[in-house]
Amino acid sequence: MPNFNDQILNHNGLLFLACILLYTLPVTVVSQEPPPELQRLTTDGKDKQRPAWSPDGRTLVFARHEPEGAYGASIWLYLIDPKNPNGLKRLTDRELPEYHATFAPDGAQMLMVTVSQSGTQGNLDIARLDKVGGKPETVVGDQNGKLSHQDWPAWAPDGKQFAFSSTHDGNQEIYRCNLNGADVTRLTQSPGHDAHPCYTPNGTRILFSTDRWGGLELASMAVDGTDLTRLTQSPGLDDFPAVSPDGKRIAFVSNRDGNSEVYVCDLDGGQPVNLSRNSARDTQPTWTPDGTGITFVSDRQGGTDLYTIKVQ
Amino acid sequence: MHGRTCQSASRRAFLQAGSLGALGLSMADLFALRQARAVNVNAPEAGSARAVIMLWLWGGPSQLETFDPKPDAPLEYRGPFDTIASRVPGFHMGELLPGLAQRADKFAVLRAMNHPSNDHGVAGTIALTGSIAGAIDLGGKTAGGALQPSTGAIVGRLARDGRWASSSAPRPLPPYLILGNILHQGHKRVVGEGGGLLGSAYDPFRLDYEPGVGLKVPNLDLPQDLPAPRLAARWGLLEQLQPGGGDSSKLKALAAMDNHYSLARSLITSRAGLEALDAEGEPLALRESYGSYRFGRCCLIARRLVEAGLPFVQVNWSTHVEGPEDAGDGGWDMHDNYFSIMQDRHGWMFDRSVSALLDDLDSRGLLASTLVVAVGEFGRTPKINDKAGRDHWNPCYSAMLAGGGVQGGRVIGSSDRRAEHPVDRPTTPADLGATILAAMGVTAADITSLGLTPAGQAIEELFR
Repeated sequence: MPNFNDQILNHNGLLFLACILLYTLPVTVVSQEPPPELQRLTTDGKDKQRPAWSPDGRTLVFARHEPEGAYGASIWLYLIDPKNPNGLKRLTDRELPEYHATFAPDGAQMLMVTVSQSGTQGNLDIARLDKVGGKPETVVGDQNGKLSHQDWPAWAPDGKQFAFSSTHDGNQEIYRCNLNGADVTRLTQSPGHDAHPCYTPNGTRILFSTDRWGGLELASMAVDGTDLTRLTQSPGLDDFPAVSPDGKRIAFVSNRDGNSEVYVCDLDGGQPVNLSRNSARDTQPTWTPDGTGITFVSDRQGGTDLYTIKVQ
Repeated sequence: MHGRTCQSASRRAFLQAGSLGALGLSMADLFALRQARAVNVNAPEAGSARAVIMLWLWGGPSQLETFDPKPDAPLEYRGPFDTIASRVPGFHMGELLPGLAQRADKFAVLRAMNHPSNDHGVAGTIALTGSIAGAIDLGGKTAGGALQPSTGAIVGRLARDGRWASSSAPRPLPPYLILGNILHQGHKRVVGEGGGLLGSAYDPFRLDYEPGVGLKVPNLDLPQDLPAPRLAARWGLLEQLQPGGGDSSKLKALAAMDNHYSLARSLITSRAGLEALDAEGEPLALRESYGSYRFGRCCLIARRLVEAGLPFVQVNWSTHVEGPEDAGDGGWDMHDNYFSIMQDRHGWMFDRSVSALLDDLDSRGLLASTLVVAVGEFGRTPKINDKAGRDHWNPCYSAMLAGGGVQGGRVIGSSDRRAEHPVDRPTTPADLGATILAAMGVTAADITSLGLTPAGQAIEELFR
């Protein structure tokens, strides 16, 4: 099966031009040069969510808010080749909202969140997409006829399962299931809020955020939901954990200094380091596949855009 | 698919106010305008406020994540966000509002607001007019009684008589202006922003700002079959239609717009109006402090309009109560996925823009004469629902007030340990409306002189 990069780079030139014309937006004036270690990946300034890299590092997927979608404002998924930032391309031709996409470990498929019917207050499903421009296939929807939302899919390293958050059983918990949506297993048991799961690269543990100890903190557990371990303990929220490709470090968001920043710490403990160090809002980090950088959402230059900061 | 189609977008495009860059204003003009404003700020009035900026948080923000956190409530109520201390000892707020926490000495909070409806449409009417009369619920049922004017419409009406007028202002500006389109609940329009009993002549003039596009005149009441090219003449629209000619229903619809467009003409053709609307001339750092998203930029434009002499400017957070995930445009009605959306969007956007607005007004010496109010139509259910959201909650919610004589650092009223019900000093939208009018020096006699019945009691503790 061809991967997403092949599909992006080999498509018809005319279609490519049309996509550029349709989806490239006015470039926001950059007020100041970013620091040397920082690469700005987008410039349109529109609100964005959850960047995620293809395994080969050639393509970035992210969600962007659109004020004038066919059903009103919307959120759509886009692909971008960082070497050709003007080549922004819609991932699908859906008109209903879609977001929080992530590449499979082999780059051949994606998981994403789709709104299956607008105006339903929370009918979010997780869908699988096999090719650019294809039709996402819902793999996890409502369970037992009860409206619920599914969010933030995270692939297991073997590509056979994924974790996600859902309100199937009332409050929001972390679940895991097979790629076809079978064998949905609840992993967390807390009356509070559990969110944003991610696997460690060796596939043995799942990190997530939880409010079971007060404010949002990071925790990890075995993939069967056992061996819960608290990872952070700080005033303010800690959220959006992302484990480095070598499995040694965690990037996450914290407002422990009063502002939303991207921090990095060792997976086995240690003092978190503020990596983004900016008065703007920095959030939703993801590692570059080679582990040398962290891509995140920031409004440090006015509008909301994507940046990659180098990591030592 | 509903009515917000490519066709309507095209009409909106025709109605964009156009470039405001080439204003032809000199620095002397600008200085004269500001001087004229400053003179009037110091004029003696019954109330110290000379302008109102109403930040209308459509959809209903949660009291728990903003101004009334409950850190000791059970997990199913308090939610995942922490409580933070503010600049004022004992005044705690939600952690998503760190900027406002640092400015708590500049604003007061009402923690026991309440009214009788949890329907967006009805609650919106109550919140904006102080009365349920004429409200239309989601099912289309209309409450009895005549629709009352909004607080902004009353101010606008009195402004027509010269109240709060800047004696040297070059031309009158629309006294009641809303940055945003007509409020909707789903596909239904919500009433309560207009003149009500005072008549449609006192409806607000509307402008809007769209990032990447700029200022535009929202598409209001246009007959559905009116071809877009006929709107190309913009402000000359009505002159093209002679009495007795054309479709009478169209003429009637267009006539209803006459006031709107005459106000538009007065705004666009006045130096003060043009100067006020051209927020792009503000320093980049200031624009960025407000935020480049729609609400932030509208707060900046509101400041400029007040500075130019408008007595009442309302900034609508959104047109629809729902978010983009739910066919809306990002309102506060988050029945599901609430905490993620608050963290990703609403919390920091509100915090940043309102903080910038307070700082900006203060640094210009305008905060003392400008009342800033931030409130929605109700709050959210303290108990988190089974979709990780909060539903409508009208028995108890919060409002924020700053400037215009309001003493900062005050917390008026309190709620119970789960923020479900008022414990003391309950207040209502009618009280809030009376407070706004009192701050502006409007008396009961002023209101009755308009043929209206005064409603609510001004919250005096805010000013002592």
